[in-house]
Amino acid sequence: MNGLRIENLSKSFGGVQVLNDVSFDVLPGKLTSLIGPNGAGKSTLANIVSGFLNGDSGEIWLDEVRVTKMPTYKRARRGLSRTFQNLELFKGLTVRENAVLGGFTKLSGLAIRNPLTSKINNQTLSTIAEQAMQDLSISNLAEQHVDSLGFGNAKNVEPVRVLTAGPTVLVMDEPAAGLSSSDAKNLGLWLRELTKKNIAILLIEHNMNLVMDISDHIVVLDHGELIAKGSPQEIRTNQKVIDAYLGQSR
Amino acid sequence: MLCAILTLLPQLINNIYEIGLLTDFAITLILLIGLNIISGYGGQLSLGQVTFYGLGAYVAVLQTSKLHIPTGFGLIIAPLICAIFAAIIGIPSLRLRGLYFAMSTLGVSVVFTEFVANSPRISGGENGLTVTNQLQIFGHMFFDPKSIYYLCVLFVFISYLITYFYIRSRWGWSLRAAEASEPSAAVVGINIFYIRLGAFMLSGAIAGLAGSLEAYHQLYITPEGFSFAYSILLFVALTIGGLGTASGPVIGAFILYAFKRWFGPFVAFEPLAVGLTFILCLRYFPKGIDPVIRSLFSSLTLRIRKKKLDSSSSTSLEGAQ
Repeated sequence: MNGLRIENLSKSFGGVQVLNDVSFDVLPGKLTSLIGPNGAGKSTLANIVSGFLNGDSGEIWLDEVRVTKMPTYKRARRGLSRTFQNLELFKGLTVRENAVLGGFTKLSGLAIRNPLTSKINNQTLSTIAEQAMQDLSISNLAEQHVDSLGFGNAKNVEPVRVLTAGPTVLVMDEPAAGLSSSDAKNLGLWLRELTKKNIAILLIEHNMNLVMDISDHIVVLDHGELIAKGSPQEIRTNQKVIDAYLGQSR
Repeated sequence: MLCAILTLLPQLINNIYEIGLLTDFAITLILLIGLNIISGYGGQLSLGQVTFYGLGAYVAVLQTSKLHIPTGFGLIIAPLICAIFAAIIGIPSLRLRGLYFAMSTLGVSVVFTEFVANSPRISGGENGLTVTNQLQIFGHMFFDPKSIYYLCVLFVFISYLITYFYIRSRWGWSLRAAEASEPSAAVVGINIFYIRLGAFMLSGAIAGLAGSLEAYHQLYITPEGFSFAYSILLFVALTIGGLGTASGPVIGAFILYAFKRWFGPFVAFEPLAVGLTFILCLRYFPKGIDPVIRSLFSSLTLRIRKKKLDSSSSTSLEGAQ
């Protein structure tokens, strides 16, 4: 199966079981949301999937390749990309440079920028980065250092980097946190557009309106246990989910 | 421009002592250029730069005295050996982070000094080694202070050129990206360990080059000249200049040169003066002097532009009237 497969994943920190035998698939061209109350194990799962943590048991498959023990950079080279709950930008670099670095794996040759003209050498990547910046309406900020951007604009730099990377599987950890409702809506539209490119998207999010509007599948975690999975309609009416989570967020 | 100034300076100075100090400045500058790669652009606090500096000096001397290799080859062999030694140290220590990495490099520096001081058969022990063969490159003898000085200036230029292209290469970008955000760097496919190891090796090679030049400049080397205290002094000087900036090493080397010149007769006061400058710098310019100079320069150019604009608009208004 292409996309992302999580198989019987368990993880504990000390005596606390953070994930317990969690299994689900994230299919290409589909948007799967992972929801649950704080401390449910969502971010731990994202960290294990992207290789920042190792699970105690279980397997991670990426486009039919077992990547369970693979370091993060190798998973990225195989097409896995992610964004972070807290902004993780390349400070000291411009928006354009951040965007181009997203496609690091496609970069070749000695110099990225021409030392004399300062133009980015890789024309294809340069064009992809330009298009990505346009898609997220930050092309006018291309030459600004990311440190000088306001939160809203800075929040769009990570998605731009993702677009330049051209992933097959994308994990997004709370991308709507801190966004206004209109910005969150735009983000949702952008994510739906990404699914048309056959990208498998795993969205970790607390904004239930956004999740219910754009998801194809929803997986619910509570105290490290997978308590439900299904379509938004099924999840909305699932009593276990209402008791554990939706009851609070509504 | 810096190299042009450095090349012209000996025309104005005929004092051998002053030429010697300028040579010290050029060698310190090469050392700081190397340190700036791993600690400035790479963000890894390396306190072992003096190890490579010392190793480079000893390799340059020993390759001729023990193996009878022509002196000129020392300027190639010393950096190569230092790069290999940096890899040997870097493979375990670059897996550590922050202060732990700094402590491991500091430890290597202490061990190196002790080893050199206690191995009289190889290194001459505490008494050091005297350089008996003059440096010779393509038949040209570098025996007078001015010729050694010009050679050091040439290597300042080469070191800057290497750094310039390295920082603009995919490795340099990766290094800066990893410094800015390790998680993001990993997520875009950068092998952080490998990139930092490369930077550490390059940094060590440049320090080794500085060491070999130091040996032919002083014609006498002792373990005392490569103590870990000097490593800390170098890091402080670079921080005052501006970590990860092009002019940071120049400012840092200039500060060490100026203090050496002013406090020449009072050597004991030199570290005290550098320490006080460091404290003041951390208080008022925490990012070093480079950004201050840059902002002063940009505000000055802005003022000049504004003045030009004002004067041209007033002339055009007068013309219209």
